[in-house]
Amino acid sequence: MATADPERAGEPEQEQDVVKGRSPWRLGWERLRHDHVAMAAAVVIVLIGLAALLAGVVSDLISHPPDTQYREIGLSPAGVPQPPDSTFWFGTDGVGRDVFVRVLYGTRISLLVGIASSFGAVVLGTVIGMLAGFYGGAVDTLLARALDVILSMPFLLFGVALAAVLGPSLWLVVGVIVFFTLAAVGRIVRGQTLSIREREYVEAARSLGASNRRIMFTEILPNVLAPVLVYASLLVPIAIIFSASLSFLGLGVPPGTPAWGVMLREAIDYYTVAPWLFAFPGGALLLTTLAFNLLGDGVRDALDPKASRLGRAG
Amino acid sequence: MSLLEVENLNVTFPTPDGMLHAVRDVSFTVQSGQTLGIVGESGSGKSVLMQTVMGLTHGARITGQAYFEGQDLLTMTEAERRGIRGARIGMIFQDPLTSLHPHYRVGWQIVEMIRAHGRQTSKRAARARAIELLDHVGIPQPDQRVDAFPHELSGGMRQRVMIAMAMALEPALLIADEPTTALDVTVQAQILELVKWLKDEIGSAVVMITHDLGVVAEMADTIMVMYAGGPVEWAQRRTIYYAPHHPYTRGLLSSLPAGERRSRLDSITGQPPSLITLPSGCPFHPRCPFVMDRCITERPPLRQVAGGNGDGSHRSACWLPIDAVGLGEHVDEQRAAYAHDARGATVHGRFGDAP
Amino acid sequence: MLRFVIRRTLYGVLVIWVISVVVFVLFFVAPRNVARKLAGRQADMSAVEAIREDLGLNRPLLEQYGDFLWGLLQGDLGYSYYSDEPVTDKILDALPISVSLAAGAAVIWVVLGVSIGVLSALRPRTIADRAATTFALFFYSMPTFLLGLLLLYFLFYQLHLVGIDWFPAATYVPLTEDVGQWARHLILPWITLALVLTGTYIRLTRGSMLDALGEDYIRTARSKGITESRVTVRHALRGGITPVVTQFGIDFGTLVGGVLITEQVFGLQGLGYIAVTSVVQGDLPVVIGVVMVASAFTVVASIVVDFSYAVLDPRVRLT
Repeated sequence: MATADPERAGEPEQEQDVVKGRSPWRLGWERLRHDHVAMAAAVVIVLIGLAALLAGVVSDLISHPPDTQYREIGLSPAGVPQPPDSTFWFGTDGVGRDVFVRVLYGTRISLLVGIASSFGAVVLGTVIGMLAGFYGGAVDTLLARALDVILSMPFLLFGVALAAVLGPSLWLVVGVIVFFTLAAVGRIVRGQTLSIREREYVEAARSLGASNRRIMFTEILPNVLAPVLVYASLLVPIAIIFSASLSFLGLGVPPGTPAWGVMLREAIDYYTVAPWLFAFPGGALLLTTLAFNLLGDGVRDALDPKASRLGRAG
Repeated sequence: MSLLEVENLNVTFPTPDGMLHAVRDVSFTVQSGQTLGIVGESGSGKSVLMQTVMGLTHGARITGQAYFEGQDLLTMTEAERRGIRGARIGMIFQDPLTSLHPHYRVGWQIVEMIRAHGRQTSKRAARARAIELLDHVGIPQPDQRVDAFPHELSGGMRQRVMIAMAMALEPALLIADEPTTALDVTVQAQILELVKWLKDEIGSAVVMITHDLGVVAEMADTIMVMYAGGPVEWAQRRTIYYAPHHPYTRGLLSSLPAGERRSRLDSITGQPPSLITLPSGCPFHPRCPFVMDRCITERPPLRQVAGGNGDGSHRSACWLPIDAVGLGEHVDEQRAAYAHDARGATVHGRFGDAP
Repeated sequence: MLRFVIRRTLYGVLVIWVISVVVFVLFFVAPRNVARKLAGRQADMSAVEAIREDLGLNRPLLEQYGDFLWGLLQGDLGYSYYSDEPVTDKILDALPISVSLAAGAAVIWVVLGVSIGVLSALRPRTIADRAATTFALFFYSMPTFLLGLLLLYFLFYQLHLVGIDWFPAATYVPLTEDVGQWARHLILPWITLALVLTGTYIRLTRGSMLDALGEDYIRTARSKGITESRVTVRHALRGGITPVVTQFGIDFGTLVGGVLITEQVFGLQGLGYIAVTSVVQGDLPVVIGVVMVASAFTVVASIVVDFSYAVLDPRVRLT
């Protein structure tokens, strides 16, 4: 335990404090760094992120824009999609577009939806949960009941209904996911806040005249952050799967967009003749959700060692 | 033949930080009908020791022998051990609330014990026996309490249920692991009294594990004091209380509330050592007020101590002279002087001043 | 006890009412032009108006909602804009399909999830445990529709190509007609739905079993000399099953109300299927009907879950 940590060399702390005073975050990071599976998943996520960033560059390099239909070279004379070859690495789709470039572009939408909705849900859920737990009384009753109602709604069915009413769009998908997942975050944060509110150090801060807002930010927020972060990391793959599912039903991002769910929906018509049409976007989708889940599990194991028993062994 | 004979028992657990040596070379015997007190701080290995004997430790490396009624518990098959557990050796634990299954009625739990070792017992007969047992351990209205859930009973009642269960098959040996620690002070004495009474009635031997020398003061015939996984002192009860040898035993004694026993050694400072990286030499030396050079380099073996019962049954693992036994300032001065001579350095005369 | 049931039921009704308001408002905030759709592209304004009049879409919102609520209280969910069929009939036709799908899959995922979870917890950190957790994570990360497509491709299409038709394309054969055919036609959807959920149950069971196995009462059970299998099942599993039951109640309640994606992939016309179809068509009465029924199932499931706490754990008191 008392291993010297070069990163801390410059910090003005006593030797023995290095062991006792190491923050849970630093301990968590130490544990995460030694979790090979989680680190491998992080590398995969970085690569996926790079693919998203460089989709345009790659598309320019091989001069295959994502929406160009290569009806001459991309389709057989009978109009059948072409299997993977040296020109079209992942083959072509039903209208002769380059699947490789479209899969690359698809990373953008998946990451955007996954991260944006997870972030939105965590921010809103934390605010609602903290307000409900901190103020209690009528505020709490109202907010907690509202969260209950949200949790009682059939998530996917409502998503479908909303998407149909408001028309398919990327931001609507994000909004739907945020709305339905903030309730779970809110519940966690509310519970934590309720218990922290009663602790001595909060009482102490209050007796010293700290304002409610100050107490919430300096005493309560840091203590709810760890579970919330764990939840956020596990929310990303859920959001990605949800948005792909909506797109698959034709109710997510608009048809024609290079998103994995859309591509998979388009692949159904060709699944007997062109299995690559669902192999590549499907593989990319699965790889992404797997990587995020593995990293999420690692983060949970690292920040909450007790809960680690729920997940992978080591 | 002794009822239980443990020889050179070692228990180590592999951990990410290294091997944890929980029990280190422990040997002792328990005679039929006798009571052995095993005393030590938490982390001294006393619980692991007895759980290993019962075959309840998992993932550990175990060496040594533990003969119960002539058979080695450590080499027999799990099925053979199962036949002994509960039937021949009963166990009660520290916290009766968590030790009883919260989802089953107490009667069910006692019936399970009875029927585990006697399939031919009918459920009806086992239930009648359970009620009888509850009555026997002093639970009022046993025919109603038999259908109570553990959370519906008080702490003392729960421990009585545990005792009724452990004693159901009249075992030859009862292992009581801190049976009073989780209870109210007023209830503790009643529970000890009950154990003592049942033991005499059934004629069982008892191994009483505790951190509190006061608990075994009334009932133990022999006491083994453990520190950092190993035995440091072994003697008849009277000897331990009136003529202890090991400074650790003296520290435990002086932390007892009884006023007359309080010497000028107030309490033991510091923490028990990590069982992964033990101190060199005597594992107690960093906390010992009489530490000598030899203690730091050489681990003291269990040696016979002078006096005591005169039968050589008083043994201690300490480098202090074998006649430095007893309590009081006189002995302290004697020890301090010896430590001073042996070390040739400043004397750390008080536990309170030890580094 | 009675107080709990009454309180919980009233609360459930309140939740369903709130949901009905949300759905109703939602569809009128941004209405799809159903009348225009029904009338067809070439129709003139008067035809569209006539249809609107006919469907009652011209009346004030509150009045329409009042009618809807009044109908709801009488168990009448209105008529489909498209087929004029009573919504109740449509739902009653679709319900057996969704229930069949959910119930069959539930058997598979509970048996698989709990048994793998238990075995995994008994041997933590062994190869078998790691394999189980990897399996769990893999299917947990798998989008349902992707797994459905994969199974269709390999187990239906590829096998079909070599002349093996073990898994027929999913069409619904009512249970009352032919049990064998009912099951045979539902095998692929069952596997799809079950595998996707098994991961959650493996993880949940493994975790709560590990917690339970660490409890003091397990040590007591072992000290009694009962068999290890009895310790595992009667003591540890009994002690750790509550979270699994909770999760099951919620999952099953949600699924009975419509297995949207699996039904879509396999073309099974259950509640989820008609929900998606009606949503796309803007067939408001059907959408509201399905949402109400699905919400009711969720609410009932959550009441049953609360109730099961008290059954499973004598320490819980219902108030």
